[in-house]
Amino acid sequence: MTETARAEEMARLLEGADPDVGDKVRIGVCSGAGCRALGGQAVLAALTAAAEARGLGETVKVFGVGCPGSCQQGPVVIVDPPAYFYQKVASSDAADILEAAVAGKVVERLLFKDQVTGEAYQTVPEVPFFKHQERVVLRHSGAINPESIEDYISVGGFQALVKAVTSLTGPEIIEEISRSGLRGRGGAGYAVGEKWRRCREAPGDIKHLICNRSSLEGLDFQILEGLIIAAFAVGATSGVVYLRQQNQKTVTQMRAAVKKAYEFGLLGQGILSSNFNLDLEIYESDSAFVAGEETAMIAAIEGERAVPRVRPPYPTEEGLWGRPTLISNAETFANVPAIIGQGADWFRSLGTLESPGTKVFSLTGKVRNGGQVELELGTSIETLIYEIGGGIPGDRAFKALHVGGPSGGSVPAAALDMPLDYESIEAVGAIVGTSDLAVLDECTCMVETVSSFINLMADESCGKCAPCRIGTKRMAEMVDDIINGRAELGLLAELEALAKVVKTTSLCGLGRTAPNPILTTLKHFRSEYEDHITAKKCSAATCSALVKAPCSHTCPAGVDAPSYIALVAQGRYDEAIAIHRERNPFPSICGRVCHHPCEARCKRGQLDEPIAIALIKRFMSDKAAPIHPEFPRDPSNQHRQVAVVGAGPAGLACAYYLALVGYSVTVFESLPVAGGMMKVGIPDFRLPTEILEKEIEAIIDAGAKIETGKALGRDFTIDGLFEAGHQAVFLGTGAHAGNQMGLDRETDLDGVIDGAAFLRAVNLGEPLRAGRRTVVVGGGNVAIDAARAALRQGAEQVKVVYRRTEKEMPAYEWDIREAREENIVLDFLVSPVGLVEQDGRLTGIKCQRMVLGARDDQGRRRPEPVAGSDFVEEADMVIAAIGQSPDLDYLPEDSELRGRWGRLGVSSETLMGDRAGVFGGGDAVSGPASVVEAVRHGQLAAAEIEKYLTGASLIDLQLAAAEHRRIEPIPEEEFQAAGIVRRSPPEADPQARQGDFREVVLALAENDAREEAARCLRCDLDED
Amino acid sequence: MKTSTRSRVSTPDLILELRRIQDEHGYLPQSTLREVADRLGAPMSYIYGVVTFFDEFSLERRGRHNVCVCRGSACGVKGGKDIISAAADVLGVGPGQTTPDFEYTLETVSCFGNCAVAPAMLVDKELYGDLTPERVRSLLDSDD
Repeated sequence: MTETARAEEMARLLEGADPDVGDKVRIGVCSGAGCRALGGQAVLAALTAAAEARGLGETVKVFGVGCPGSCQQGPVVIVDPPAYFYQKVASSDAADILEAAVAGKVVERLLFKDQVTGEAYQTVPEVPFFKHQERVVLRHSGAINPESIEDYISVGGFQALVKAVTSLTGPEIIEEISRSGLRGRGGAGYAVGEKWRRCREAPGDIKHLICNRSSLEGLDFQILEGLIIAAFAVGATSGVVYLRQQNQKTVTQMRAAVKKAYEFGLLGQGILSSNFNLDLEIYESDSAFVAGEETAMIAAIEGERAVPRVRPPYPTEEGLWGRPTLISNAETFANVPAIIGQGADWFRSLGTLESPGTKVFSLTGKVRNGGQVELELGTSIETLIYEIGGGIPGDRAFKALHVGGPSGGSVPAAALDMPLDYESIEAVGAIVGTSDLAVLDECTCMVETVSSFINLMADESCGKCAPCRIGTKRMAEMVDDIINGRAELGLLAELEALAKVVKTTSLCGLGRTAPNPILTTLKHFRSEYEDHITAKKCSAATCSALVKAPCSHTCPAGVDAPSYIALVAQGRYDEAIAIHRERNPFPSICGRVCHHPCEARCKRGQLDEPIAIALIKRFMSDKAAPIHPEFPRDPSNQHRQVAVVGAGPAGLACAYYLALVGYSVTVFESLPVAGGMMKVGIPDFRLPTEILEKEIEAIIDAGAKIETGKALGRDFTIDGLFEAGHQAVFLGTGAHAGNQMGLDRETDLDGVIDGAAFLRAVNLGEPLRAGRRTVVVGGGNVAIDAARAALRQGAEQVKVVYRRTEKEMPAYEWDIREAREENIVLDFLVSPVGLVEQDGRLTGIKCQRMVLGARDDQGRRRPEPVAGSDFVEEADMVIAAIGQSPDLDYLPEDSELRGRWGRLGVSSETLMGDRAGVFGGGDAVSGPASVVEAVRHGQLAAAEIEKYLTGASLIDLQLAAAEHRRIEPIPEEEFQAAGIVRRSPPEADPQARQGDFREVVLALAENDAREEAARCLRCDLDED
Repeated sequence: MKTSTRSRVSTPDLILELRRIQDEHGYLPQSTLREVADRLGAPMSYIYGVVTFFDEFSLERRGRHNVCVCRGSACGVKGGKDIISAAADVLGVGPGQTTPDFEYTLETVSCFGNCAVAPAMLVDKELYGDLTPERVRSLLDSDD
């Protein structure tokens, strides 16, 4: 045909264009499934009614638009011009939207706001969710009525089809598609042009086309345009659109669209006045997963069970009814009009060399702004999650991106920079085609997630081939054994081996991809599997067979939080304290200094905010005396002597539980006071001395003796302890030696001190003035504590320099906030390179700027120096707080107790070293950790010492009995339901508190504490 | 070389026919299947194979309303398990079962494909998203 013919056809089509796309204000209400499920149709009805009632028919056009993708913000309304984006709209907002639209104003309260910064965004292109997307397939989504062919024509729809039919030949079209590099969007990414060519060249008079229409709701005309072009190019004269009947709306819309296309002469005989014919049918399918496999889909259309068959022959040679068949995913077809319209070169300018163009993904899981997104291929996971997705709710840690649903693979946090394209997605064991991107955070259990995937695949396996039919079932059973705590470690190797067999020997894609979640998580998250098997621990605290309540499961010491919280709600503080002390004798201390991982997993946190467990603990321990829990006591134990070296949290806990079951325990402490790091590491403004003393007194009260000023290696030896009649020794000597920065003159220049030594001097009341200008190097708790202590010791100006950014700081965020309130300056991406001195006096510290480079295994970016960025920070005191190590000088060089990394070496199960009867725990074994982790070691060691001496543990007996404890819930009317906010503690005034060591965080009032406790959802009472 | 050895009964209308019967009776009574087999000249075993392959067909009488909860991956990540148990709790029957009064049948499905509003549930042909166990209870309690 000629150019004239083309122009004529286009003109004829445009007669059908919607005349309404003129100067009216267009109010589009999303009619996608997401918004409909959230009440979008009611909003559309309300807006339509309100517009009619106001007689605005000539000024505004209210209509349903195709899904813009921001489903999690639904129902969504877009007012154009200028494309104001309103989210979470209710019917009651209709009047305000209309009035503002007519007046050209914006309804502020309905705008999208960044959940972290609170910044509001007005129009679609400004909203971060859209800003970082590249829209080819979804270019018209949210702008036009998806059910109107007129709307589609008005925005240039069918022009590519007219161009193809009137001025191009089949081979020319195929050549253009080949040049564009378009790859199949539904499966493993086969080259589309090549597939078209094979179908065109396959012998046969009649050829078919099948469109797998399981995605992209609302793009019917665009998909139709693409598939008609494809049919023309390959010479197919009959086509089937394969739809899933669960989506009735999609089925109805597609049927209507096909009917319209016939009416407009775009389907049927003599399309666009040419001799090209195409008839199209709709096939409604059931949801059978396996039917996504092309040969299974063909079987279903032929009226058979949807089971796949062996390829070759490929459908392009022998497909539907045994004839050459082009079978493609809807998204592949939806790309075609743009490629034919704008050319292969334009298309290649998007995406990467091997993966040109874009891909539509469904972004789901633990992300603030989920929905349907279209990304330029090669976009990084970081951009996807943090720019488009707005980050993870509650700013929890990103754990993995699961690509490709139940047949896909998981990418760990270390791969945040990974580009999303065919190659890299395949490399992680997933395929692009499944389009499902699920963000998993620290509260998602990888093994449980895998269990749901493999169980689904076992259900969906069609049963035709044995590896898939039997293998998926067996794998599902194995994974279920793991999450139910029934597995042994050897099972992992069996699971991995079976997964590989199923992957390599199954007949079709379903079986070949079903093992992917297992294989990728075994690769990247093996320790999570191992924790379930050996420690019976689920780090996400979600596996119900292992987890009684997330809080107590997550607590390193396993304290029964729901029970004592329930007792506090009832005002029964003595009982609450006794329960706490059963696993941790320091409720008052931990109520103040614990990092409370229990709260991070609290289920209430998924509803609104977690229970303030630490504050409740602090309140009850301030309120009640330190009552001892009941442990069974064996009178003969008093003849058994145990020596504990080090009166820190590990040693004291060990001594306490041994004393409670009747042993004679003596604790030897090298410093003049007991408490270890709790005394000399934590300043009084976080933990007042009298609080510490009260809880140490209770340990003495239980029967443990403490001898201070007695240092191992100086005053006694391990051999000596045994000779003196001690039958077992526990070493809890801590990690008190500050690490060095490795700078010249660091050890002998006056004014340079390590953080642990500085805090020790302050806490022991030694005469020490901080420098006028003090610089603290480091980003952990010791750094922040040292900085705040320096301020209170008279420093005029305190600056903390840290080599990474605030996000990576290990210090607790609440302590960082308090430090800022006290005018401590934090300078990030700074690393020390030398000390500056004048006349033998420290005058400054030479630093260099850093940038964050490549990621390490944990996903943290490594800091790298910026060349030529050196500068001098003036300072007359430098505190190096870059970590501590155990000081094991008391052991001979060749001692069997020396372990890796300069730590004590003991068995992780029994905490006993290679010398019989010598146990170890706390920081000396683990390196610097928290009080509660040291307590766990102390109690575990106590039970193991019992077993070593008597063959059984009374401590374990009591802890096992306590598992069955059940504290009755409070009456329902007292429950603090949703909407009742988490209580915050009062704090000392930042100005006033800087001058002394008074406690900063204050206690909750009794009423607040009890109400806070009454917010608890009592997960421990859930029966599964 | 021809490697295909397909010897299937081609019955393009079978599934449509089965759907029609199910729409009429709410399930597929045995007697109707025999009629279909006779009419299409296909063995009963073949018909049975197709019927039991697809979730949409039922050989037993079903409830007047169909409640279908998604157990897909996205819904699973967002608490789909709790949604299924809440629905089972309200209706008093497990997945795959029908209430004794034949009012409700509870089912689960691999994936609706509406992951953005996960967790999701279909009541007859109406889709509900962003569900919580509480919302499931109120939806199913108020539904007649």
